[in-house]
Amino acid sequence: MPILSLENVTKDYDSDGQLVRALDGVTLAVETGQFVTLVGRSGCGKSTLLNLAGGMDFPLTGEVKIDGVSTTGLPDAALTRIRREKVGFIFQSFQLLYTLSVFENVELPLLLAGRGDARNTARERLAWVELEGLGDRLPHQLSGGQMQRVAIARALVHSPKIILADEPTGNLDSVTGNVILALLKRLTRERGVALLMATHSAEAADLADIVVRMRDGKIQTIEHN
Amino acid sequence: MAALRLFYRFMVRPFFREPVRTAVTILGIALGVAVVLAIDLAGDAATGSFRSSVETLSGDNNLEIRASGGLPESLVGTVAQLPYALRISPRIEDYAVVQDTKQTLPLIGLDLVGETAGYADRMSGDGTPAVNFMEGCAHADLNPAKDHDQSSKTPFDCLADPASVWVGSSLGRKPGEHLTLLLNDREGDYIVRGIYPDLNGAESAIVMDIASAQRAVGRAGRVDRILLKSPPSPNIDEWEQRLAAALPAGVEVRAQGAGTNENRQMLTAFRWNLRLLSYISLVVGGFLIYNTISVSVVRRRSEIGIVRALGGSRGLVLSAFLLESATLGLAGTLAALPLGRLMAGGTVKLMGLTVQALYVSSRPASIELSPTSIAL
Ligand SMILES: Nc1ncnc2c1ncn2[C@@H]1O[C@H](COP(=O)(O)OP(=O)(O)O)[C@@H](O)[C@H]1O
Ligand SMILES: [Mg+2]
Repeated sequence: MPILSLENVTKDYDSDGQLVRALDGVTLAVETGQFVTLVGRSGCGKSTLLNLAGGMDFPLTGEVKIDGVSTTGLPDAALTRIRREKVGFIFQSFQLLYTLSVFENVELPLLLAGRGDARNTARERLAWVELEGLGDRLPHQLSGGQMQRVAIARALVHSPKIILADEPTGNLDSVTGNVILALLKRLTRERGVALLMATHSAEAADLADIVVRMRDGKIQTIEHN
Repeated sequence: MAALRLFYRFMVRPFFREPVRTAVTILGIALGVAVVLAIDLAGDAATGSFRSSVETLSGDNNLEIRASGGLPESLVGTVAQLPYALRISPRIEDYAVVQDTKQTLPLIGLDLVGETAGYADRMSGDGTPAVNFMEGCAHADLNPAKDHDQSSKTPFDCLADPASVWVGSSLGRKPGEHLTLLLNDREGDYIVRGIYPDLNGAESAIVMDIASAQRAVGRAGRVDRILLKSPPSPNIDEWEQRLAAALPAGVEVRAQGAGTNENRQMLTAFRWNLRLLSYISLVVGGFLIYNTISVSVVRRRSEIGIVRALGGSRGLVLSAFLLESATLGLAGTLAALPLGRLMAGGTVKLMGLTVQALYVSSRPASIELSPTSIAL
């Protein structure tokens, strides 16, 4: 069973009274441990797809299943539970909480899940992303690459089954970006975590098991490397 | 545990990062709560004086005769000549200002000779706190007053001495002490002859002989009220009717204390009006909380999004903001306690004046911070 599946999904947005079809009949499956990239021009629907995949939004028609559970009609509490148990998020703009320390940022998903042993796990994840010793810093005391490493540590802290990453290298220079990509790939591979990543970068596409090409809300091609 | 840590990191820490903003908000809430508290406390104090010695000194009398503008003294004789076994207790009722403390206290003029004669009866009766005024005068010669030497020779002279007064124990005076009182806009020197026990927290009244009181307040030949004790049968309504029939028009016979009850009801109504007005300031405090929280929500929109993505439920986010407002409310209320106590001091003066002007001469009692007013 795939960890994530989209079945003939459509999604409309109402922008200034005009209906925009952001996703149009998308069908896709991500298997456990797979690295899948979404590529395509800006506005083709990558972020929308990731939002639906993470249960942050619902499809107009079709079905999104996370680890076999359809998100449609699920109450907020159940969706929240799925997210905190199975999904990790990484964003282009890092989305760290700037008033919290690095440790506190990484701990957050565990605390939100009501788990107490957060500090030790956070320390371990920071070691994974090679940021030992920076736990007490505030985000603005870090470089862009370091911030994205914190975000990766945070996305992995609760041992999710899939990580959804929306252009994680978009705000980084290409050298740093490539290092981050390599790190993401290595960690997800080692831990058997699936990775669904929207990206502009050709290097990212080369690293992936599967490259999904999108255009105007539709999937054009699915290539297996 | 985890939730507590989260609340501290997300809600409490920002309070300290913006101390001025937080302080202003808390102060605003505190002001709102303090106004309500002050009005409530002041109300308690302003009405408190009704548990005053005027009541306790009413003894076991069950009827009163009164008329607006007072009664002619001759009416006492009229009542005494009625063929009924009534105990009659005429009195002058006014206010006196103790000059050294500026305290305003009720002044009661009693027929001390008559009351003292009835003292023994009453002690054996229902146990109402009778006062032995004679006691103070039995030792009168131990504390001869310079100015009134010749009139202090026998106990009865001492009772009737225009300078003799009796005060309640809560006033903290000693027999023989001199007291300068302002009565009817005239200052005079008086001697404390005796102390009578004040009932639990009741306000002290100044007692003097009725003849002295009539002179002191400038109402010679008149009395303010005549209190009566009727025999147990027939019932009190019957007595009211009998007496009313025997008295001239314009003179009212009613149950003793009825006037106090009326005043009390008016005061209660007055307090409720004030209280409702004070709730407006509470609404303002509530609005301040609402405003602070909505600003907080808007400023944290992206933060909320991140927390939701990382596994925070909608309920968790909502309760965090509710808890934030509760924290502000609690902090404001705590700050309001001393503030309200302070404001009540000023309010009680204003209220005392209003109450006095509108209804009756009521003297403010001390302000007490009670658990119920805090809970409010
Ligand atoms: N919240 C929104 N409201 C209205 N339109 C939106 C919203 N989010 C995305 N869209 C529109 O949906 C389409 C797909 O957007 P998006 O998924 O962000 O594309 P991508 O991430 O590939 O750049 C775009 O046309 C965009 O303008
Ligand atoms: Mg996008």
